[in-house]
Amino acid sequence: MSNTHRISWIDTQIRGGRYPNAVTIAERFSISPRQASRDLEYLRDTMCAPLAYSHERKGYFYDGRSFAVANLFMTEEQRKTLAYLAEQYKRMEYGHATHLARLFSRLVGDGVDEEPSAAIPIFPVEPAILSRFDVLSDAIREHRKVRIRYGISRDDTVEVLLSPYKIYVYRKENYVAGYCEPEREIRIFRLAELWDTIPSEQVYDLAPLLGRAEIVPYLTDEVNIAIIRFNVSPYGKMLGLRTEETMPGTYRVEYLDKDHLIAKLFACPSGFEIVSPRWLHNLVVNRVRRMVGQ
Amino acid sequence: MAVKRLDGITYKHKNWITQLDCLYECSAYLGVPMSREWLYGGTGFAFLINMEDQGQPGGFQSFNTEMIRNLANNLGITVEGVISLQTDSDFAEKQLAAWETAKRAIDNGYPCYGYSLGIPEYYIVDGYDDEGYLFQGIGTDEWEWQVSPAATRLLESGIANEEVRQLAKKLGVELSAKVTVGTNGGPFEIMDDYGNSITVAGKAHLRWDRLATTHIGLLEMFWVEPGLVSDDRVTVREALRFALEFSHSPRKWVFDRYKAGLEGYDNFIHTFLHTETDGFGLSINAEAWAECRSMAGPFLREAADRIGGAEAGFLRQSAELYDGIFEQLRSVRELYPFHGRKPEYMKNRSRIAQAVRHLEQAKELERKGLQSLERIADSLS
Repeated sequence: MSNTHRISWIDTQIRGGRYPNAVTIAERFSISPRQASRDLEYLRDTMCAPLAYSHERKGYFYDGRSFAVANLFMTEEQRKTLAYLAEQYKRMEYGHATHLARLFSRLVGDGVDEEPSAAIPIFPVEPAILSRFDVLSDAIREHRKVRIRYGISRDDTVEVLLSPYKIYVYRKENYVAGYCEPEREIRIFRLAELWDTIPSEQVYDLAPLLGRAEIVPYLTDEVNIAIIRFNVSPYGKMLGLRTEETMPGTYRVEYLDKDHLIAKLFACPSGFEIVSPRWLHNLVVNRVRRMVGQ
Repeated sequence: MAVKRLDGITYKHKNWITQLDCLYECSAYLGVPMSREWLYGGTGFAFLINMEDQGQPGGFQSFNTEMIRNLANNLGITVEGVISLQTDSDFAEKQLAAWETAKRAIDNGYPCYGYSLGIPEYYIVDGYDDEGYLFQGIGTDEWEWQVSPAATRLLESGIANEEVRQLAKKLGVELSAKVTVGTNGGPFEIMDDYGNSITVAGKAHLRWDRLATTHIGLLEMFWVEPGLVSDDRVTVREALRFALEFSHSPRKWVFDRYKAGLEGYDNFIHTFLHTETDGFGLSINAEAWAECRSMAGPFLREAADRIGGAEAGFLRQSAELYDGIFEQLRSVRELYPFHGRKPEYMKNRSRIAQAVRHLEQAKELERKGLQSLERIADSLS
């Protein structure tokens, strides 16, 4: 039982002229008198109730000015949402966000003691990002695919069909992780770099996708390019990276991590030649020589 | 205590880009000949600029330097190693891997280099004992700025005595009353609240488990082996292509709040004009980027000599542009030197205006320079 429920009951008792005290509160909710006292302190100190004690009636009443406790009932999901928002805004570490963090924490009863020193301003989060957040959250809940366009700027975007799995917060930024088609990759995207998020009617089942997906542990889509010639041409298409056959057996290969590319090349049973960049060719030869003791 | 040390490796001449110093000295030790200019240019470093928007000092270290080491594979060496951050979950394993890797490399006759064994710079690791690394670089045995054992003991307690202050004065540095002494157990970095800094010699030994445990928390330990050499045309082309791509501040290499290329100059200018700073970051960046541009012209001329043909003309024309950029950055460096800079310089509007003019001129030359590099890279394709 959260203290918001107890606060609401205490308020009702006071308005009904029933003069609740720590003992009656403790008995009602099977808590300790000490905990009940803290509820009364919370009502007085945090919610600024004009609480006064009547020695005659051995309980509490509202003294003087009008006071109202807002309806604090909420579902567990609502409470979790507010708690999540409180955490988000706590991370932002600037004035307005801090005020909102305190407000949301107070609403869920996390016992924030300090009063804000300024009025709460207008909600600072960008509407566009909130919109993407909502679309993706719904898609995750309903297991629906979302068509997204992503890139650093609107002028330079790539479109994929995303099966979103989860939204994460990291260092004040929101990210979504999911399976991308046609690349067959599991990737993470910053919500700030999604330019369109259009829900589709297609539903997905994530488990079968995981078995054949390449996990791409990078945010950036700034690929490096290698030109690689394969002795057996189809191996270029089977490399598991984005490739384009520019001449028979020669591929333009997009890669993000050179060691990852080298590992894939060595897994290829056919011979290959790194045409460019030359430094990559030299690195591979140097490594092979080291391995065979030359 | 058993000591293993490579004979004959030296690190006498310290420049601002200490990672390239290490690569240069390691290459020389391995018998791989190249000029400093060829190294600066062949790794692309001669053409880079990277500036944070509030004038933070580390622009020449604060980017993903992987491509510098990748391009070294064109120059007759190969560089491998261990990289980690102190905050990584496998930091302890990487620290141990760095230690074991360095010992193995040295046992095989390969020199190593790593970051922040002394102050936050790169150091050559040329030996080890039972407890840790033996290294050479800024603030080690042959460092010219040494103090007595008594003064050293005080520095170990965080106190810079009169002897240290007198040494600083010889360098043109008037340390303020408020100084901090930074050390990782070896060389001492003394900084005051005006942004003045000097390095005093300390022990050239670091326990292996203290690597990357300072405030920066970056672990880098590399070893250098001889490798293949690429054709000069390919070497120049790949270095210039990297420099051109870098100038667009791609996130795979350029960190948040930093900008490269022409926008890097904008950050430089912005810091002079709009940021309250003690000048430490501005002066060290001026030194470092002036050094890089001082290598660019000679590299391009060496490339012209090596490659010849029609491209030689383009290369020499481009070299003139980069000589001009160097002159402008050298002027900024002279206005705001790392040693000898006075606190009032950062409030002197006339001085600031002069520095900004030089940066603006450097930026315009850089615009033309980048266009010339594009033409050269295309012609070498």
